[in-house]
Amino acid sequence: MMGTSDGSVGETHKIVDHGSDSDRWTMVLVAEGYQAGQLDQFHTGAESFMESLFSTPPFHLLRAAVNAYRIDVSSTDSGADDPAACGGTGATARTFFDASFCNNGIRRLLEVNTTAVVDVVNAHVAQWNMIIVLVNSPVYGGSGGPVAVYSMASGAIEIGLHEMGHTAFGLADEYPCYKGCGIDTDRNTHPAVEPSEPNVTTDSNRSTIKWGDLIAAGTPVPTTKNADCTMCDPQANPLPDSTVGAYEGAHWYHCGAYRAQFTCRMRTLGNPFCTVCQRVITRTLTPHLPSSIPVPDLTRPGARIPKVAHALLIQAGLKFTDSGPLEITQDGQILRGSVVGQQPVAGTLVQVGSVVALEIGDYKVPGPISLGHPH
Amino acid sequence: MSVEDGATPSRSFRLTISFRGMNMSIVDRRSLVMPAPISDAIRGYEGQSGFWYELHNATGETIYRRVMHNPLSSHVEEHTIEPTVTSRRHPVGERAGTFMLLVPEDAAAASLVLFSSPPDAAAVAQPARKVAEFALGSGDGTG
Repeated sequence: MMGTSDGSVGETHKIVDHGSDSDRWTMVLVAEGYQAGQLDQFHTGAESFMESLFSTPPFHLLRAAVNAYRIDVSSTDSGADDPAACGGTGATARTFFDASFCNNGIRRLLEVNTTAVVDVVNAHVAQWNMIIVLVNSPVYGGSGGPVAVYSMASGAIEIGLHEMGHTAFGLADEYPCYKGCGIDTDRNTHPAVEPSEPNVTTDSNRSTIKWGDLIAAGTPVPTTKNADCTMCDPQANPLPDSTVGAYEGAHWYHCGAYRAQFTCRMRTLGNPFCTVCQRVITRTLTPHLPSSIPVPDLTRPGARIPKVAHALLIQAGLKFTDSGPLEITQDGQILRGSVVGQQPVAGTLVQVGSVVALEIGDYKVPGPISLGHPH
Repeated sequence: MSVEDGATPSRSFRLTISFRGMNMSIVDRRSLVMPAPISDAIRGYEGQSGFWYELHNATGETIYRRVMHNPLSSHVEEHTIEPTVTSRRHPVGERAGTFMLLVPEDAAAASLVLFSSPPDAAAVAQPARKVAEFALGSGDGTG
């Protein structure tokens, strides 16, 4: 309860510095529900979030594009309102941004005064791209919108990452229900209207689906079908997790809408972003990479390409396909693929976990990479 | 172009839009030395669902378009601690608030046009239609 009279805005610290905010993609982490003596905990939480982000593909390859700040906002009380009406403790806390669970009577919906948050950030870090509020509560919850909000409960950091997917990258929810599997009665079949978001589709035609360039020739499309559109599809993934295809059940509908991989952070928290979502994120952050990173000369045989140039290649619209002049070595063998519109370059296939990646020089393109058979 | 290149830096406007239901107005505009997000494709969205904003030139031609998560939705997302389905939606009725757009400062831009599917839960997958247009320079708009 209460508001900006219940605390004060303290110092702003740049905790990730890769250059001018005029060039980088700038994040701002804001404290809420921390008393002045607890701000060390916020500092730790902010660092934990950035560590999680930078270990999350594709951010792990795009670290140089990102700046981050934390703003130390202290509150009179610790925590957030936790109304008993939603099963909470009934606690009220006088905090700067009025954090409260149980908004609209929804237990885990933790919201703050967004206008006040944006006002503070505008005053301290004008060139921001994404704002995340860390709420000092052990109760699991969070929310999205203009700013992402999450609590300090175990696992709630995933809410911040998922909401970044919405707010910063325009990604859709990929889960196949609205109120929940077994609850919905009006979510059987998605209307035949294509969503504008890049990671869901109603199109199950291999030749026209919007991520078709990522689907291997041997992958069936659609990749899975829901046999009973009155419910969520209960089947397990019949293919390796890394397989890109068209899996039925997405965008809050049981049938008629498809997602690119069986799972994704935009479907179920705790999973990686799928390949399509990673590509969207990469395209957004690429313009913020330092320009001192040389754009590779792909016409030079054996060109070595910096790791971060991967994003530049994607930004340039390059696609990796299964035919053409790209020569890729693996264990001394020559495979053939192509970088569309480019001259031959040398590269190596490497195994990264369960995913095959393409390594050219000292940069890696995370898989799956579509490659043809050796000629 | 970047500051560190010594080249002319990219500039953007951050527009803050206040809304209640589908009624919108620009309440703040800041000129910033930072790039706007790269444009999405400026053709091919006709008849699609969701939310996007466009910059039009004086002849009405689209010169910039960006898809974003629908800020006008009259439903919210709850993230639960259930192990399988970790997220779900709740209808909450007409909403009010603010959202921000980052658009490139482009001398050719004459208007900002917003497109949205209906905000209510039953119609979120219906085609988007123009819901607001703002003449850039005045801050006034029609919703």
